[in-house]
Amino acid sequence: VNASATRPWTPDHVVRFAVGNAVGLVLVAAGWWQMADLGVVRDQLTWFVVALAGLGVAGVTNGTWLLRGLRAVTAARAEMTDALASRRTAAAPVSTNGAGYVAAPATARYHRSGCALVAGRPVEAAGRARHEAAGRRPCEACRP
Amino acid sequence: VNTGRWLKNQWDRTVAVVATLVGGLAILLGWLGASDAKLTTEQLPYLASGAVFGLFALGVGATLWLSADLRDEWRKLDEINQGLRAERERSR
Repeated sequence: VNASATRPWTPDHVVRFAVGNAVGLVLVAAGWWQMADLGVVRDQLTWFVVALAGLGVAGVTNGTWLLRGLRAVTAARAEMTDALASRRTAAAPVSTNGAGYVAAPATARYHRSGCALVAGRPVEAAGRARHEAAGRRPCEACRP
Repeated sequence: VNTGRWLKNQWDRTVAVVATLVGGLAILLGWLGASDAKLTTEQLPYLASGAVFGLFALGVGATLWLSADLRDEWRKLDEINQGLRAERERSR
């Protein structure tokens, strides 16, 4: 799977998001502007509906935007789960000699010994404090 | 922390906070205006400028904040996936 294919938002989506919210804002402003000049409730309500329509346009635009982001995250999570599951079948826990957590040399994360991301790789075992002193952060997959 | 750089990198969270504050303020001002108005025809415009615009701004703020969270999560997952892909390539 190509990373860019699952990117949450392209520039085209950003333009649609901006235009949708701008249209919504214009409708809300137009509704308010017209209502302020009218002296009859019935006429004002017509323009109030226009303002509400603007709120609806913005709501649909924002909902679509968030849904797209959620889909991209779900797809990325599924890809990671599949990749980890296929590795886990062959992976055996790495020995830590009781030192706690492991990390491959020159990498930015430390892991639990059974994490599939380090299975079969040469690793250094150490405690959390030593890994963090070396500038490493916890793996997002195994959450040590 | 360099505030200017943080604001630039986290522009969506910055706009989200501003939009939420503006939305809250609009609702408050709309309520104050409507409560001072005597006639229904005077109150209704406050409903549009206060409540409707306030909800619009709160919606934009919530959307931008949530999308910033989704973007961050996607970036982390993508980083992990790229590592897994690279490893798969190496092991072939």
